Amino acid sequence: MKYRDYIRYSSKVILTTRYSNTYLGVLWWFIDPILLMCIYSFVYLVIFNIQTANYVVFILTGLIIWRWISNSITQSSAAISSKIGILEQVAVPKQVFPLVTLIVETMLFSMAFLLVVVAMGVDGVMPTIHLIELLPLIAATFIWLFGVSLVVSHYGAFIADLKPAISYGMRFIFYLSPVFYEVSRLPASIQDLYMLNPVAIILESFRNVVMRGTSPDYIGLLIIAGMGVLFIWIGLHLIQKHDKDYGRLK
Amino acid sequence: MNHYVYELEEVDLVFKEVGRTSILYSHGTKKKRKGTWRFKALDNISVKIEKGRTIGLIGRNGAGKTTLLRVLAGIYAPDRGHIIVNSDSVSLLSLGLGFDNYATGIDNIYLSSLLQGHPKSLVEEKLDEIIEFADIGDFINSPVKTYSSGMRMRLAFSIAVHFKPDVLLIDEALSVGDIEFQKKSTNKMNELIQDKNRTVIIASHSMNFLKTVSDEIIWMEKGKVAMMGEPEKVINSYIAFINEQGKKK
Repeated sequence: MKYRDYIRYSSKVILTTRYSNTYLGVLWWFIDPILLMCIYSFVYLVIFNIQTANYVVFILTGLIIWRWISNSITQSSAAISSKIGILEQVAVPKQVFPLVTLIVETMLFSMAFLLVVVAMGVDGVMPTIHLIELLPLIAATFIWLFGVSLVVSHYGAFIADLKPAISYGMRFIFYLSPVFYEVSRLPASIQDLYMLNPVAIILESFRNVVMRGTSPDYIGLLIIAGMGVLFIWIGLHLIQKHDKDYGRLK
Repeated sequence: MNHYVYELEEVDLVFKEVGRTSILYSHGTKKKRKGTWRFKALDNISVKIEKGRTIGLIGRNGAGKTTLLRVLAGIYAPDRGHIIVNSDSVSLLSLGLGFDNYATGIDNIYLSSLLQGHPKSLVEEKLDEIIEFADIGDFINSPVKTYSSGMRMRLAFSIAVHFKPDVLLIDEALSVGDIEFQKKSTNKMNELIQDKNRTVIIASHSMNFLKTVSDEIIWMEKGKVAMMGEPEKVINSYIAFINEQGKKK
């Protein structure tokens, strides 16, 4: 692909400039999940007085993966429309921009995942051979996110309402996903239905690998990757069809 | 080999307001709805542009010069009509847009050039030349948000002229920076224009400049080609028209 160099360079620049005007810089990426972890731990452990084994690893895994998913999707809604200055000047394939956004979020996710490793040490969770299964797990999630990002970035450019709608939607999904509570707390009758949520499948699979010493839900992951491929196909089709329209949005 | 670099036939381009376009109508329906803002920026444009020529583009603000250049650059697709482009090396030079404010000058040189589709190795090769020509000192290592508007333009100009495309489209970017830089940029521009293999299309309000460099002038008025032909003649008609308009008011 002709724009590979741009994608690589642009991702690098965004990573280094995102926090360049803050005092703490990239540290914010670590501070954020830690502070959130404190808040949710307080709510869950103190107010509701619920005991969960290895809660630190449990909640950090949840928050960091949630952040990856949520930020990628939310930011993709403006990935094309915010580049209007560039789009009016250069004829460039627009799928480049949501891809850059996703790569940046994935890099930040990978760095923050080091926190999980630290927490495993603190919490006394022994690593197992199943950690290797992080690779297919991250790959399937990435494919799914790329597909969703492409579709969202296309509609986000044409429909301004999509941005606030997505941020409400993401909050809804946050509570419908096992980010800070365990699936077993739900009534058994709705658990099957609940696990149809792709985010729930991804989160549970990560926890299986990191703290339960078991494999991810491979059937679920296969479906998620399949959905991702379908969304990528739809998204690329939409973006290519409207390639010359984005620049003239008024 | 076709000796035309561009052939446009009855090209229309309409701008629509997107905010009020509902999801139901957003996909190419021709149906007009009440209250939707529409503007025909190009209206039935038919022109042929020969390879290697230098074409001046004149007209009042809002006449459609920038829109036409963007159609030629492949950024907009016509709503009606045909456009045939016989070149794969086209670059549009318009200043001040598209910089990442938080990135340094050097990073922006890379970003802009890579976006044009140039390989990284070529950018590395040209980097020193671009920095030297822009001549903005240590600012090249600072974020672009710290630049004065003149410095931004110097950098943008320098990036644009150092990759020599077969077709160069220039949107009112002639008098850039201070007197010293203007001299340098005019020289650079002349060098690009004089190359007989390069087609150059310049939108400008500087009639004297266009008179000296153009082989032909296109005068646009309200999205249409009002006149096309010999520079002296078209410019005189245009000036006469403007004076006429002035009297009416």
